[in-house]
Amino acid sequence: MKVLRLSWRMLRYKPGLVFAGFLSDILFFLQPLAAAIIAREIFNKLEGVAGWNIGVNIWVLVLLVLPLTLTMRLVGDFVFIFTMWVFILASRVLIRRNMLLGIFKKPGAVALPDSPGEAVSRFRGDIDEVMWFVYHLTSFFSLGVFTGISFYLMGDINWKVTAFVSIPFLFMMILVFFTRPIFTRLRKDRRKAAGAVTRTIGEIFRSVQSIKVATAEDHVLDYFGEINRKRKIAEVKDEFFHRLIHSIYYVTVYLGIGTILLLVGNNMQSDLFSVGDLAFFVVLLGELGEFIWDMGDMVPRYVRTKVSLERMFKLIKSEDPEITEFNLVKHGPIYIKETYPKIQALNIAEENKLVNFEVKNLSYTYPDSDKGIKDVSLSIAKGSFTVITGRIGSGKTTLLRTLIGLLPKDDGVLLWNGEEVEKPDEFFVPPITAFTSQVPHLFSETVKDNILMGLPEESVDIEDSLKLAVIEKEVLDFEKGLDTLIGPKGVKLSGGQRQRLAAARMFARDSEIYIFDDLSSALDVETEQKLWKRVFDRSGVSTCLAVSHRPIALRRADNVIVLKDGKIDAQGKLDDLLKTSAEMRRLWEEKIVKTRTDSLTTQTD
Amino acid sequence: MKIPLQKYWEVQKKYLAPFKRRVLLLAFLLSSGTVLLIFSPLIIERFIDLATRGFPIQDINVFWVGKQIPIVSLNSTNLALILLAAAYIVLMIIQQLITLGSVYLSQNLSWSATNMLRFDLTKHCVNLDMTFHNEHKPGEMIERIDGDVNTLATFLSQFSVQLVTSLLVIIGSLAVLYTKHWIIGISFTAFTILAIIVMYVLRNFSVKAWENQRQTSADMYGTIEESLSAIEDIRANAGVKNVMRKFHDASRNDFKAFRRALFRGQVFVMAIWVVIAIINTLIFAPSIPLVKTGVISLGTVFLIQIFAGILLRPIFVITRQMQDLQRAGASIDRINKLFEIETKIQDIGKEKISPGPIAIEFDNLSFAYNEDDYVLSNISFKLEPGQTLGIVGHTGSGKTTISRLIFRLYDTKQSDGNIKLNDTKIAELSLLDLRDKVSYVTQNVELFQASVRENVTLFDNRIPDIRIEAILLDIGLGNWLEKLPEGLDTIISSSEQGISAGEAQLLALARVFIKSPNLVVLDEASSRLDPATEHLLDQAIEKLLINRTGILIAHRLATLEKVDDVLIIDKGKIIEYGKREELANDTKSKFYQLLQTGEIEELLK
Repeated sequence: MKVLRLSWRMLRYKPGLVFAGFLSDILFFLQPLAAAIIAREIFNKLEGVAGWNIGVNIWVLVLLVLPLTLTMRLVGDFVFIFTMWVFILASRVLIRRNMLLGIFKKPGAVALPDSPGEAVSRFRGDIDEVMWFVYHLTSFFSLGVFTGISFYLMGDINWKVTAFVSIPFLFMMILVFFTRPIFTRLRKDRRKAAGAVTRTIGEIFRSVQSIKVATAEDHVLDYFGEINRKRKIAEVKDEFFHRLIHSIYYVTVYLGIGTILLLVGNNMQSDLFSVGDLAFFVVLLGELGEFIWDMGDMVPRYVRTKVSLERMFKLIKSEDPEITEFNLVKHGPIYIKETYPKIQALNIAEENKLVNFEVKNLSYTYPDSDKGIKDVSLSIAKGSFTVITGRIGSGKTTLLRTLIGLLPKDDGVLLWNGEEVEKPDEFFVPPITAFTSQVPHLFSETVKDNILMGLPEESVDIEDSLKLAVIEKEVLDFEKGLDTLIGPKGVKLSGGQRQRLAAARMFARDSEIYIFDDLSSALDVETEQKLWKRVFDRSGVSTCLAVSHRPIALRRADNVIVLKDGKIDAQGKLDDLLKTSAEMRRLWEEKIVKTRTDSLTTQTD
Repeated sequence: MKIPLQKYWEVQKKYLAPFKRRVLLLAFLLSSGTVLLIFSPLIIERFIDLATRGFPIQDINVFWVGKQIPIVSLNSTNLALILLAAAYIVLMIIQQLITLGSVYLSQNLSWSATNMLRFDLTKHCVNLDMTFHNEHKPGEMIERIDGDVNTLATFLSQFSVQLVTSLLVIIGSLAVLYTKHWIIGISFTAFTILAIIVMYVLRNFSVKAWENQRQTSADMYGTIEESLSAIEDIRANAGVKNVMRKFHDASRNDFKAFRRALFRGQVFVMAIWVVIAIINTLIFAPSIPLVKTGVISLGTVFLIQIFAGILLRPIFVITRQMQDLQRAGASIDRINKLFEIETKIQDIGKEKISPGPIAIEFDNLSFAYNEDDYVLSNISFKLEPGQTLGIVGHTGSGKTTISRLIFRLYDTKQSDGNIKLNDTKIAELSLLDLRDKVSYVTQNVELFQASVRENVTLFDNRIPDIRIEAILLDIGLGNWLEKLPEGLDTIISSSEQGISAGEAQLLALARVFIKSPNLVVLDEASSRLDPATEHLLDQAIEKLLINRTGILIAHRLATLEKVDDVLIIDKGKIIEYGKREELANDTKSKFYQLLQTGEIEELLK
């Protein structure tokens, strides 16, 4: 992980702000130096020994302390807020934007290494860690200026004593260097433990109904308590170790000051080292102690930042070699002042209109398992209706996901109108394909916004989409119709309503192929029948690919694909399959025996 | 403006009380540190006076406590200087050890106390009724439980202790300064009072702004979390730009709120710097004439300078604590607001359900999620113990609401009728007992990123593995379990990778089998399964229903094959209700026609 190069790239995002912030930082650090110089002059004049002899009256010096230091501090602070802080805040938005874009570039079904709640912790704590480091890089330079001037002036007073003062600084650097691996490990543990806590909170509140239903509140809370306890240990360990190094350093500094006292004791008696000089040294050493510590702290900070950057990069890392760490800090608009540009209506190029979509030898295996799909070949013609069926775990959903790039295929070719699709995940989106997943996710917005998902309202026939999805009457009955808020993840709707609203969202995106992953799972037979009828009324115009077990869908299908253990067991028209495929017969018979009424309805269809 | 000390005090009292010993030890360590802090400059003062011979040697004592040891008798100024320097070093090392100890203690305290608060808050929120959870996204809960509580961390563990020790430092330092000369004492007292007044006046200057910023940041993370939960849906339906638009809108708000809060906070800090600048002047102005007239020594002026720095520290600490207090105040308000939300489900009933199958009765029940928006009206039915009722209706007809009401996920108004179990109103039953004896399988499946075992038992570790395995085998997950690399210990990712939706549904169903309920409410449990697995599951459910009362909420007519009673519901009203046998044979019944045509829709007009 190229921490420094990434930080440099980040700093160049707003170079003007960073430079102005840097100058204000210098002003800020020079303030104690000015105060120390004046203090030395005053002491020397009181004692009657020569100093740098600024040549002004002692009362002028005393009165100078106030306005000078005050102005430096005030100007420094205010400029800092409107430059460096604005840079930090803007950069946080930029990195978050890049991470979001990166995640949404990855195959959708494998996008997150962990839960969404845990991923949010990488958007929060890790980004703060990185920006803190980036800022400290600039303060590293202003500190350098301050340290340089301080050491020069101290050396001018007494170079032997000054040389002695540098020893604790070197000691600290060596110490930090050797403890670096411990820093990394402790920090990693700490972040991981904190991530587990946020993740668990997210999971608990996402599953709160399941928890209530299982009366598992107490057990889940015990588990939460245990995770909290682990985090406490990790946090305390990390913080304590950090402070231990800090303390060792300070003890070294105090040893230094104590020894300076011993060294200069005789000199003071012989007037070689004045009280003013001692005041100057002690004041500056106090400040330098803090500042030098900050510098020594750069190494552990560097380590922590590296860990954070790795965690952030893991969110956007993909097979694509073009995605590097630098994507995290890629410059781009962040829309802090202006609003986000209007989203364009969907438009399909003439040559992309579907004639034939062919899939050859498609394979995908889940990492660390033997589950997946193998060698699947199929063909979809314009206006056709294809149904995928099979037992639970036979790979139906995996097939759909791999087909449209939500999972990265291991092998196989996808041919759209005879041409190979290079990047399925970028190609298979509306207006080429639209998709409804098995468990659709909705947003905490209005019905209308959920359907539009950003598309310009005038480009979408909302009424028609609602009707196709058989939800138009219910939406009319809602208190505020299309403007009804549906709650987080659509909790205010019933399961069937959620699924049909997601279907309406799909239909609202005029596409060449509509893909349903068991759209019917939460619907009653009648509603589903109605939905299929409405879809079929458009057949010839719309092309559909669906996972389904429903007789109505199977009967109507131009091609039924039977999956077994990730491979195609058979495919063809239902009637033929019932003769040739044992698996199809098994699936069908169980369905028929068990659901007499269901088959009755298909016969009247 | 009044400081709402009451509310701070209550939080502290509640969450520090269990850790009294640690608090006392921390207080002890910090006050010892204070004593050392005030004592060490006196050493340097003596050192300077000795080294510059500002005092007659006979007057000098190495230590200020205990017997007076005339240095003269040692007849060596050098030895005294060495002793003083050594004493300084030793004191400083002890001070660092004390600092380390207090860091460890305060960290430990801080995490213990905040973990307790996190736990209480989570517990409180989990126990709130579903109307609360429908309004709040999991991402928001993460921010409100982890984010807000984190803000309280230093406040909880250190506020009182730091405040007291800071006051000790101020009083101690002023006392020492008074002993040097009354003019110096008065100048510093005036300064301290001024500083405290300024801070008091500006204390609340940025509270509102920070509170506002916390909300905007919660909104932003909420937006991110929601988007990350729906990656597949967003990617496959070209919703990425919309996600970015929402993200940038939320980020813009957060950016502006943050900058405003920083600015207002800075005004506060600036006031402190004005005070510091004044102190710098105060050091020297009164000292000059006093040194020139020989009233105080140069060493004393040096001491005054060091004390000026020492006095800054508690003022800084108080400032920081005040700012923490501002932020903490905002967080406490938000936390209290959460605590103040009361569950609408009152658990005041004491009655217990007698063992064995339960009789259930709906007595003229109506229900509205919102004020007057009734989704159920005048529902009445009675189910004898051990019988099974099938409820059928469209999605959104109120079926799911019926099951939620039995389980008391929501409560009806008193005037809106009753639900009775074994002739007792459910409000009069103990909620724990009710939820123990009634099982409810919902449409939603939520898994934790935890082991298979924990997902089935929901972290109840009293349940033996044999039982879990037997249940999984019973519901048809035997093969699946065998294939898992680490059996019950295999970790399931909550993003549903590596586990199909059907398997997830079965796994969630296993949770019901762990309980041994007397009434089972099944809400479309088998909706997502293929016929073969569905068959397995139906057998399992049949087993489950033996000697239990059952309510099956079906979207499929097939489910109704095995029920005793049938209830048809539409738009929240009962359309038909009776024995299945009778209805099926009554050619005039809607159920009969339904069986014939499968067209509920037409009938209901």
